[in-house]
Amino acid sequence: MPFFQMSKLAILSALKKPATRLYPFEIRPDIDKTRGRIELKVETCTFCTLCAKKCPTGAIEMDRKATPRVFHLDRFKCILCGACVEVCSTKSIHTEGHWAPPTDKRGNVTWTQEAPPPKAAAPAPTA
Amino acid sequence: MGKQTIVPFGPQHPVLPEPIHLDLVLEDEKVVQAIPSIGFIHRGLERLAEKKEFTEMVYVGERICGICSFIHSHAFCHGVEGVMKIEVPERAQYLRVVWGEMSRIHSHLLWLGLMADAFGFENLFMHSWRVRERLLDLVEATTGGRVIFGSCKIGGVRRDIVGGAMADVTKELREIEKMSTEITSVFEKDNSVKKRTVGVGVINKEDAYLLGAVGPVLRASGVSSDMRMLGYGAYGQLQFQPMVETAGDCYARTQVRCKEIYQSFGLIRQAIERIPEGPIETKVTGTPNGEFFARLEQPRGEVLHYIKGNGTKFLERYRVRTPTFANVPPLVHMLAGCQLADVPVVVLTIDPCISCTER
Amino acid sequence: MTTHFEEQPIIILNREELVAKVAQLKKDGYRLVQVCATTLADDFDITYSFDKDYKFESLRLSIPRTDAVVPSITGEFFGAFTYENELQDLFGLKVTDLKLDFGGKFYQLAKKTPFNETKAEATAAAAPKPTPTPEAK
Repeated sequence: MPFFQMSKLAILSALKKPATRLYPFEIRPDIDKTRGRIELKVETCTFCTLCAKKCPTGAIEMDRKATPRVFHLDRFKCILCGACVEVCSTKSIHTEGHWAPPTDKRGNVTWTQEAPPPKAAAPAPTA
Repeated sequence: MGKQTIVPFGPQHPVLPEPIHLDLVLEDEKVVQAIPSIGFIHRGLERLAEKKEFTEMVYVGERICGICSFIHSHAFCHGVEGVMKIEVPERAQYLRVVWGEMSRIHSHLLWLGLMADAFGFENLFMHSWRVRERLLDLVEATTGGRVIFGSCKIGGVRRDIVGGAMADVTKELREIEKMSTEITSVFEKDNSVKKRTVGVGVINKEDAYLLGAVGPVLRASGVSSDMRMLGYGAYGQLQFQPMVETAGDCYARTQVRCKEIYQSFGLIRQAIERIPEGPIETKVTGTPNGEFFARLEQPRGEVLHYIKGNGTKFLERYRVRTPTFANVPPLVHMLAGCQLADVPVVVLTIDPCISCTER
Repeated sequence: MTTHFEEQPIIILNREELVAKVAQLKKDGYRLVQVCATTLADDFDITYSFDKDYKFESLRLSIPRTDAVVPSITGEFFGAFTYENELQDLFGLKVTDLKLDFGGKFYQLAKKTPFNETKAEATAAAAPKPTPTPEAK
């Protein structure tokens, strides 16, 4: 009988435990390969600015001339594409396994790095 | 002849997933004519091709629509590869098929839920989306994103599914297939579904063909036409036939989509059995110079991406013709003569994706 | 396995031959796939595409921008009214003998005919205008 098709589904789902999660008391465990929010390990960054050039929305802005050197990331412009992660030469930028939590104000996230000391001048070659 | 009134349908309506406006000319509860009007969600994405380099346009192409996003990015990449004559490695083509079919299953499950919602069957709507959630978790585990997959790029794919993950995918898909049989059997056999869909919105074979219908709307009227038979990607190596029904009403279109879900599960299994080892991308050098029409099969029908390059980094013309745009004339034909209460069911039966239509 | 790219022949026509050729294609059993226009420096390139049993064929017209009038094919393919109204609303092309003419109201947009400019014209229009220098006393 066609009526029993749907009623079987309905009764079984009433007896089993709910399919939904009680968020925010229960948070979903992170899935391994998710392209989550972008984080930077500023100690190993060389400020080559490749990620700023590859970013399709222009969310990354870097200033290597300032002291200390700054790295701005606008989380509202970031589309989580992962292009910066692929192109980074020192693997300092990576994606976490979860997305950024909701927030109530716009703003950049900034990391700073002390500028490296200028290279010492090479000694003049002896004649 | 009764009095004629004009009732505006949309752009805000609880049953529409996206805004479209229809002016319904009514004569005592029967629709005499429907006049469509679009443009509420026009973002000018085609002009953006003049500002973004062609390698970055993949990100824009993906985001034309949320539901059919992977196949849009596949079509863009196929178009640029057609202009520049790039050979994509075999493993990348099989992976694109696997993700494309997963995207088709998720879109059809979403549509089944919306269709149940259109005639008020909320319980079935929630169950369909519960099954879809399980599939989206699988997609996130393999590609990194739930809705915007982000895996296609010009010359190949960005990520691989290695070793043990492939076996997990097969096991998970078997579970999801069992759960979807519970949902599709209700759509096939339930009396209340049949009462609302049989005989509603009928379009016959000649009208569907001449008005330019595509996708399940065309296949449910008896025309066997599926762009996957063109053999792009790895489809040339897989065995399948287009799913065809002959009645041409809403019930036939629902059955075509239900059958396509199982066809997609079968195609993924075939692709996983035959996938070869190898690289997943080729290096792209140079700029596109020439033109190509990339035609692919989206869940909603035939999508066409026209790419024209002139030798610079920016494309000269990027044109997307989506299946919903081609299905608007059949929709206007179907609405003439139906009752007012059937209008949401008929509008949803062409699977409208208006953000695709207006890019 | 080589990637399969299908053959896509393009036939160049002029404005007067369009309706006759489309009628011939309809008699042969083709269906309309799409109508697309590209804005070039001096003219519009309009492409009409047809398909039959997975065989793809396109017709191309070149219309000068100063005389942007094109005949309609809704007499043969009624489903073309959406494409031709889009040509009118986005490009400013005038289509004669349209069976279902929305008169510019199909696409509700804030800026009229936004696609009627090439990339060079768009960048020139967006560049800041030079301020006039004050006359020296």
